[in-house]
Amino acid sequence: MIKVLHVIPSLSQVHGGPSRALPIIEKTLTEAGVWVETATTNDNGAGMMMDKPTGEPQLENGVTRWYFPKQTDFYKVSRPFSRWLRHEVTRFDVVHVHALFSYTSVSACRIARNAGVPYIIRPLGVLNTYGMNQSKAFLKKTSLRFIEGQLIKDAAAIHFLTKKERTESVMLPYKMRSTVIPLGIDISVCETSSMILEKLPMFRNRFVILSLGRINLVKGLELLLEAFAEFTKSNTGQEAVLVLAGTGGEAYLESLKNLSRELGIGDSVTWLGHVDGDLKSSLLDVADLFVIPSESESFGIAMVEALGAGIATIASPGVAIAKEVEEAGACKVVERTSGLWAEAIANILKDPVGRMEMGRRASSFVRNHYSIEAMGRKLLGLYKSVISSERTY
Amino acid sequence: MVTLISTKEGFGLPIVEAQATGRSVVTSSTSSMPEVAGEGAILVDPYSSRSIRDGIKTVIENSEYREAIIRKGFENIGRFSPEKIASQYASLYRKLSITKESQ
Repeated sequence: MIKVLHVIPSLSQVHGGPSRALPIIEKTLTEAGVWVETATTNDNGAGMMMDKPTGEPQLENGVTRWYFPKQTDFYKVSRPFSRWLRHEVTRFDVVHVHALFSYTSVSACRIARNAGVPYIIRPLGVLNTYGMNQSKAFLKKTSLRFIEGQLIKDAAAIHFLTKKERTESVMLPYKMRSTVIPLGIDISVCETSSMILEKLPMFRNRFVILSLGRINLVKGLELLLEAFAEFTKSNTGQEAVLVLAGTGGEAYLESLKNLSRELGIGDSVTWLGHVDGDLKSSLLDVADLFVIPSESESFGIAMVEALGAGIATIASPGVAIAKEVEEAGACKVVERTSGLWAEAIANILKDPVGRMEMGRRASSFVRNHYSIEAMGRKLLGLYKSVISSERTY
Repeated sequence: MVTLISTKEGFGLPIVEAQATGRSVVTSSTSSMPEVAGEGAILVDPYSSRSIRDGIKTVIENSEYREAIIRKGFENIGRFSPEKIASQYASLYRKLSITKESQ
């Protein structure tokens, strides 16, 4: 039986996609007969800790998880994690490290390398030019040069989620072994339900435009609000409402709300905060159009969920999966200017047949390309190949 | 409206029958169904309840599109007329017997 240890700085839901993907990976691998353990910190967002016992095994999601105390917010340092891993690392055939510029990631790579255990890095989008130029750019570049660079070269494989992520990687000029395995999503989360929202008058007889995901700068929501305002001004058809589901920093959220009021669309924008369960299924059911205007998105898991539900979608070119989805006729990719977005929104909303056809192609595409089964098969193949190949550290 | 939203179908005779009687057809985008339906049906993803709903809704709400589907359905059934099918069988049999004689 293959034994794999996953290392991720945090499992907190406040971090969005990356933390949500891991439970799916754990479950899929377990079902494929892999022994899975996960080590992480008890981080629950800046200044917050999860209420979990630390340093002892927890049975969660069908796997063994280990939480270690986060000692600093910056870099999420956890020395108890390193102490534990030095003792335990040889129990595993392979260590799969999620994220890069974080204490647990660097520590896990080093410990695995020193112990001769192959390790795989999933960089979560930070290696592309955009990610490198975001927060703490200088620190990242310096750190990459002196620390992560060598760990990347010594990794058994770098696990990219899309071809775009690999092509745009700043490490491309260097020697690295890499592979592309998309995330699989649990198709059942795309199940739609008409339980809740059809009862709300807000949504009745109105087009519903849905945005789902964390609310922060990279998501391009200013552009979306401006485009929606432009669209609303010239819209002569059925009224539309823009629904923003997701959490974000208070100050930033407030600035977006102010912007929507300044644009005169305050009454047509609904802020729902974090959604899941029936409310989320209901949103996927009621939405006429899904929008994802992000500047950069290393995968776009929220978009996959919307596509899987069969919703017509407009995406920005920064969303890694957008191009391949558009090639299948399953979404529309639009350059990030508010004028073009307003036009695209208008065109899709006035074409119910085109919307229906795009939605149908979207749900088929997700089943065929981003299913959990496909991901499980590919990950297992990757583990087998890194375990059997010779390493020279 | 006739719906045939199977995940698999060897042929899908109800599609042709519905088209011949001037019904609007909603059927699956998988297996043999798109080929049999031609342009004369709305295709939906049989695994997605939303896609099925949106297809049925389109037939109900969009009369222009519904009429177009029905018209194209009538055109489509020409491919399956008894004369056409019989002559295809006949030419297949002729081809087989010629092959046998020449052996």
